[in-house]
Amino acid sequence: MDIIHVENLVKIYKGGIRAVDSINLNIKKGEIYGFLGPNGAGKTTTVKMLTTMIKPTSGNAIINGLDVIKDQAKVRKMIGLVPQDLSVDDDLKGIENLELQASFYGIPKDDARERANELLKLVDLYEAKDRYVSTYSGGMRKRLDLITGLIHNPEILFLDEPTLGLDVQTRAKMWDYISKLRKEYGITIFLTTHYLEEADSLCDRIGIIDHGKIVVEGSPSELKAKVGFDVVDIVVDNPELFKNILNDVSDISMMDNKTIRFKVPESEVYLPKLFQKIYENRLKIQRIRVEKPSLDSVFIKYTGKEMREHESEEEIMRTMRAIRRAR
Amino acid sequence: MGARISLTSRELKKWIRNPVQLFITLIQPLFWILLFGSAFDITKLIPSNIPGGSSLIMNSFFMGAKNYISFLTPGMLAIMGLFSAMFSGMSIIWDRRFGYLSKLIVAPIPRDSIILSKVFSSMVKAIVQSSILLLIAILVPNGLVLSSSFNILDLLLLFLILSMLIMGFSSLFSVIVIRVKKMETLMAITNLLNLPLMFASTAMFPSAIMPSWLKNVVNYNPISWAANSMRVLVLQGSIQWSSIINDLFYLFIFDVIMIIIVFIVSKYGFEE
Repeated sequence: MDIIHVENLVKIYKGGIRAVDSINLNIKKGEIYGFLGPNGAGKTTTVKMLTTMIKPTSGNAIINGLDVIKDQAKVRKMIGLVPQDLSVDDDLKGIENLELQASFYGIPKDDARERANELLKLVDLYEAKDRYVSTYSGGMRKRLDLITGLIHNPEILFLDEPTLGLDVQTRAKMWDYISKLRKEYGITIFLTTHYLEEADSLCDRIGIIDHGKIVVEGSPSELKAKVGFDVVDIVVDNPELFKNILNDVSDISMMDNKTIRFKVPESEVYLPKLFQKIYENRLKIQRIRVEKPSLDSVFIKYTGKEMREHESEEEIMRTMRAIRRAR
Repeated sequence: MGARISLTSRELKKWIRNPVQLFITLIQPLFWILLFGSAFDITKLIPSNIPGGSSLIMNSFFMGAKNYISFLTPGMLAIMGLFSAMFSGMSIIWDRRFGYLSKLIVAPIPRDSIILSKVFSSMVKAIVQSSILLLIAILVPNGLVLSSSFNILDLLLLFLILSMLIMGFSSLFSVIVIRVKKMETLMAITNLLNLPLMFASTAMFPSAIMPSWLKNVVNYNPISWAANSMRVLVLQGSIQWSSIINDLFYLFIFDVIMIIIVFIVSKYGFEE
């Protein structure tokens, strides 16, 4: 049975904005599922509905067999949320944040401490647990935020933009921690992101969402396969002879007078056969380069726009938020 | 009950650990007593050579207070309670801004605990602050003269009255904060409410000197109920039930209504 089952979920905000427009989801236990899409695509709204923060306008959402509207209280007990904005309390110590969170779930103090220490060690924060969160770096806060969402051992963890605003290195480290969580606890993770690399490296399955609709869904490699082709650039000592060998490939072009470019659906399968033929014809390969399709190309294919544009927009939004806060 | 207690202790921890806030909490009553006590001292206008002596006027207008600060202090306690309640309610807006509120909303805790923790913590804060205010009022020159029969029970009842006042107002402001999400709008609303609540009450001046239309308003202001009843305790001592029971009853009704509103609004109000 699917741990998250969503049917025709719709959210229309006041003013008639269709933030989420009839989405369907089936997520298996233990999976890391990623919602990839630009800002305003409906990712956070979906998370809010699945985590009982807001009520759907219509449709069903079943979490571990429980309805998010009818069994709100039970759903809350089995999910953990790490919201988009940092949600740890600066004026408390690291460990106090965790203990406070544990008290919401009625976890006895000793158990809470034990669990907190375990989680703190997992994300390398144990040494800093008695410091005030106000002294933490951005990455440390995010890690603390991540584990406060796990203090009650939830079945499903919702991560809304878990690495938003982190630098590249810190982001890669967060990915390690998230993968580690799944390995250690076998927890199901639903995450939203607008970073292609994040979805690619972390998720078992991805749904690309745009204008409140899931436009395409699948594992990162399935999605890339849908765009079609791996691009191979090759330089050999005898291009003319080589072209004859490539008789089963239709899309061949000369990049310069030496480099031949061709496209194949699956280079992993095709290239070994090609090498065999090259060997048989006594050709020599001087250079070879294979480019796999990226999620970027998938995104462009299904939404008709670049993901990158939105990143800069996101930067602007973030700066604006920071300014508003500073006031 | 767990979340209500742990969230209240979170508030208190934050309060104690913020040295500036704590310092202001402690120093503010001194300012209030010294500034308001000197600036508004209308008892200076009473001529000393009138028939019957100035004590006749003090008895009939100022509940028999020995000086203006004695009259003012219980009113100041009520006003301090109002401000304390206002700030605690407003802190919900910070929780919302810093994302903490979303974590609370997703947690399986009673919705009212989010508000009640603000209410309870501001009650504790106000009791600490009011003790300091009382002490300062006694120590300043020409300060508070307590009734000779003022005892520990009077003091406890005074804390109770103050807590009741804060429970009502803290609930009121919290409910406003839940529905009004913009800081600017909230500031405007609280400013609009504060001054009338403060001046249209018996906190600083006896209602006897007010025009009759204002008297009517003053009589329905919870600040007046708290100020009047605390004044009776401070100036007359040994709990004169007959003089305070009405005010206590009104405050009780005020609290009951506000708490009911808290439960209703918190149940449905946190949704966006």
